[in-house]
Amino acid sequence: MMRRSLVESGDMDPMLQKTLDAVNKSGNSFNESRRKRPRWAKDIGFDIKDARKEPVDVLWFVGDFASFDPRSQKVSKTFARLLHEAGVDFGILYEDETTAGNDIRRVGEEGLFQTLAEGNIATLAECDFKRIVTTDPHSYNTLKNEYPAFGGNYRVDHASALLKELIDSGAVTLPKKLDYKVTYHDPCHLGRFNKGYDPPRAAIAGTGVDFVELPRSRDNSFCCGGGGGRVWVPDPPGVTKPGENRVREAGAIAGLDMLVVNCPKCMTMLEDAVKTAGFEGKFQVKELIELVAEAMDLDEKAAAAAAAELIQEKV
Amino acid sequence: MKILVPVKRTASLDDEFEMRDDGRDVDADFCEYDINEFDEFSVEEAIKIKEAAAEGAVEVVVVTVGSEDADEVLRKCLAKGADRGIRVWDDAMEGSDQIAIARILAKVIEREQPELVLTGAQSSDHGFAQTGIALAGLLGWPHGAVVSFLDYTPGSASLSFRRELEGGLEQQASIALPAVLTIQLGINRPRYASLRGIRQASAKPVEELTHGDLGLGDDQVGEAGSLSHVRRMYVPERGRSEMIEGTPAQQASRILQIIREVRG
Amino acid sequence: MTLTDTHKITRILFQDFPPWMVAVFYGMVIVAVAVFLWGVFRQLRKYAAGQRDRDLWATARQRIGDTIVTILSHRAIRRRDQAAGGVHAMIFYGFVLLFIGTATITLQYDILGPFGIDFWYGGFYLTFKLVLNLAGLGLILGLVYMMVRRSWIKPPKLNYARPDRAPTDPDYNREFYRIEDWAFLWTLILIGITGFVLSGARLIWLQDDPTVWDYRWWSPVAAVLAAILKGLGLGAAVAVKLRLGLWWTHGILALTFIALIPYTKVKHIFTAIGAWLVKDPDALRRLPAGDLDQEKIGYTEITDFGRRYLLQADACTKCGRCHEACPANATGYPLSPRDMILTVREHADRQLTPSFVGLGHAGPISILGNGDVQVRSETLWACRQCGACTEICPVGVEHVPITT
Repeated sequence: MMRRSLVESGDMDPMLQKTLDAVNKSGNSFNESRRKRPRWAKDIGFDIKDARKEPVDVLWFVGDFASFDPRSQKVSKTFARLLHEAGVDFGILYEDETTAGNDIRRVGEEGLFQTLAEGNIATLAECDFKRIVTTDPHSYNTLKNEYPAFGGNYRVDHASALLKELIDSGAVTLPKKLDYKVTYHDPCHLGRFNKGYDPPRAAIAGTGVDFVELPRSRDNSFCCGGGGGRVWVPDPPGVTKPGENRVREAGAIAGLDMLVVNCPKCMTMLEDAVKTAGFEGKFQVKELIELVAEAMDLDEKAAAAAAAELIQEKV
Repeated sequence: MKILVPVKRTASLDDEFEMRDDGRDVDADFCEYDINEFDEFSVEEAIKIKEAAAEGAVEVVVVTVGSEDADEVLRKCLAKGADRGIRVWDDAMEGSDQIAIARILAKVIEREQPELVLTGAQSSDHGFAQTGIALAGLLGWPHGAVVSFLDYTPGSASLSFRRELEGGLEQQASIALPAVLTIQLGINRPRYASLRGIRQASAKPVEELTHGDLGLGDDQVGEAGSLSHVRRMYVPERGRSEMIEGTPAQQASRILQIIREVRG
Repeated sequence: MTLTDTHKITRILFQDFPPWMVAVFYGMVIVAVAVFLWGVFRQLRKYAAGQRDRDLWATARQRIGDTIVTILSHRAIRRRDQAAGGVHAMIFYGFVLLFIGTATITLQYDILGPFGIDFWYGGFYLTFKLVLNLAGLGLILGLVYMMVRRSWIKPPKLNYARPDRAPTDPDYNREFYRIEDWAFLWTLILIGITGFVLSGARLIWLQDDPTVWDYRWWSPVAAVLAAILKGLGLGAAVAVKLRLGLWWTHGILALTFIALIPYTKVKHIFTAIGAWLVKDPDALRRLPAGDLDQEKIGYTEITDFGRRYLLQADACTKCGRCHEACPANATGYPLSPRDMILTVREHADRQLTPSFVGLGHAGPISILGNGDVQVRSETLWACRQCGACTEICPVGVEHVPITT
């Protein structure tokens, strides 16, 4: 509990301090207004249910990166369309969601974490849902394991578990067989912390890709470097980034097309590392959801649905 | 000795916002509030002076003119190390401009008798940069504006400071106490106030005062006590710019003409 | 053979020792045990100086069960390093069996014997000898491998160079640990070797006693050594002197080893088991909640640490798995989980057990800072909270909550 002392005495990187102030003020680490949070959902072709106002089966806890980071917003849009296509009854908390606070706690700002937890729990208490699902392993970890101590007891799943369920039940079909060579980076908070190694692999297997394990996988997965608040803090000179170490490990796999990730922070860190380590054009970083969506032929389906609607209207 | 630090709860805007129905300010629903960025630096400067001195030698009092919502700003300052807070408010104060606020603060200062008053150079929302200077004027105290460095030993009758000017120039000056200084960004590194610190700071006293407590009449506060009046706040149409040529008199004349046009 | 005859198939303790010699030996035992107990007391007192932890009694049965399985199967040490795990098992079981052996003899001679209860003879005795010979052999071979590993194989994780200090810092040099590790290995192996040579010499000395010589192959290693020594011309007259000399060497080494357990790396025998017993399986997933209304939050002094963390700091054997797994360490950040835990330990020792004899604490200093035995803020901020360290640690150190 030494970081907690550093936070109390204010001994921290100025960028981290800015982030904590931003989270305190606006409930997110991006220093954006609360109103801006659900804007990513504006142009996906349908309205996502407001879980604050109506009952839903699945309450999708979106998270900061998935709401505000442009690359992760793409993933959120894809996930929304995927769930819509699979007929899942889901909703989001719109502006009333704040960051779940996992990394705030792990940075040592326990007071801010408890405030966030209490706030989210109060918001969730007004909602009617069966389970919470999130694409962010950090949110997943804290919602599932730490919120109960503050009165928040929910069934919480990571998106990869839901994907596997949907594939198994047939709600999601994967007609398009993809012939990429693919490897998978286990996110720390999903894998090592919560033993979520298998559902993502099952989902990948369903897409028909040629899958190769990274040398350091599962419990031995090598962190992308974004946890513990490090995603908010610039790297000092004279160090390489853990992300670069990881993409080099992936790059050593001959003929690799994709490095599949399952976490918005991993996405950010590893996509960045692909550029700085010189692997741009060699392989892509892709979110598991995007891979599954591609195998689902989601774009085609959406286009077909839009066309059908158009024909309906004309008629 | 006592340092008094007036602080303001300021609003920050989202990219997309709407104006209030009366068109004189932004709709509060679109604002998010926090302590004025400049005030973070003036508070920090006061606390640094306090910490450098012997235990109990310096008292730092933070004051705000605002409704209950402004309490959170005071508590943040108390968490950082201020000793006491004062919040002045009643409904009559609604609509006070910078001069009215300065008048209120001047009364608080008469009550508290600090040796030094540190304000932010301006507020990060309305940005008039007048309150601190008007306060000095009302008190009849010497003042220094946009201070980027200050050096003060508690107990001393004067202090030296530096002001930031354009083109990288600095002006050095000294000033006799009591004085008002308006503080510029970057003078120090404001410390972090943890949520726990803020929570525990609720044990420190915050006094609540009305304009009556300060001996001010109804006509000295609020809209009635203001010297300026916001008629309209709006987002200007983009792309409308005009180069105004000529002598200063000709330029002023053209500007007046534009103002009349815009005012309608 | 008659009942009385099988009773003769045994080892006579302190054979041919004059009474004063036996007395001296028992005197040394008492001193060794006293020093050992004093050391244990000091350590327990050190842990007690920490803060009380969450309630452990509720999960006691499950913890005890998990600890027993983990220790006996060695599954935690075998992860990602089957060789180290397997060889450590040889050393561990060798040592445990030899300890049980000695305890059995003590039981016979010092506890039950005076009441006329006699069991260490005949078939039991012979099986006993065989088991202990194999245990001792396993122990020595294991130690030899560990020596080869350290000096020749040199796995990167056993490199004690630390990323959180510059060469000019006073606590940069971890040479002390390296020397202590070697001293540990050599002491234990010498105890083993002297024990075997001693039993070989005894066989030659008693070669004319059929109850000893005829059954010598029940202690195969000793018998082989006896054959070699005999082949080198060692006779009974010299063997008795050799035996006596080795007996005392072995005895003094062993008693010193035991006495020094709580003061040296050897304490990991207890601290590792203790740490695993108090391990929180949710350490990563669910950090301990902080009470925001307390006078203080977070650690600034060593006495702020939870007791379990102080115990964990002593359990660390510098195996280096966390050091190797850490992404910050791997990329040049000034953080190694191993070195952070060792700093906590060194700080605790310096503050809470500053003197060998006395019980006083040193004046409190902050655990945080740039001095020696302090943890730097740059070290703490380099952590990614990825949990690789805590997850792989074979003795259950919880680096992550200690950092947070």
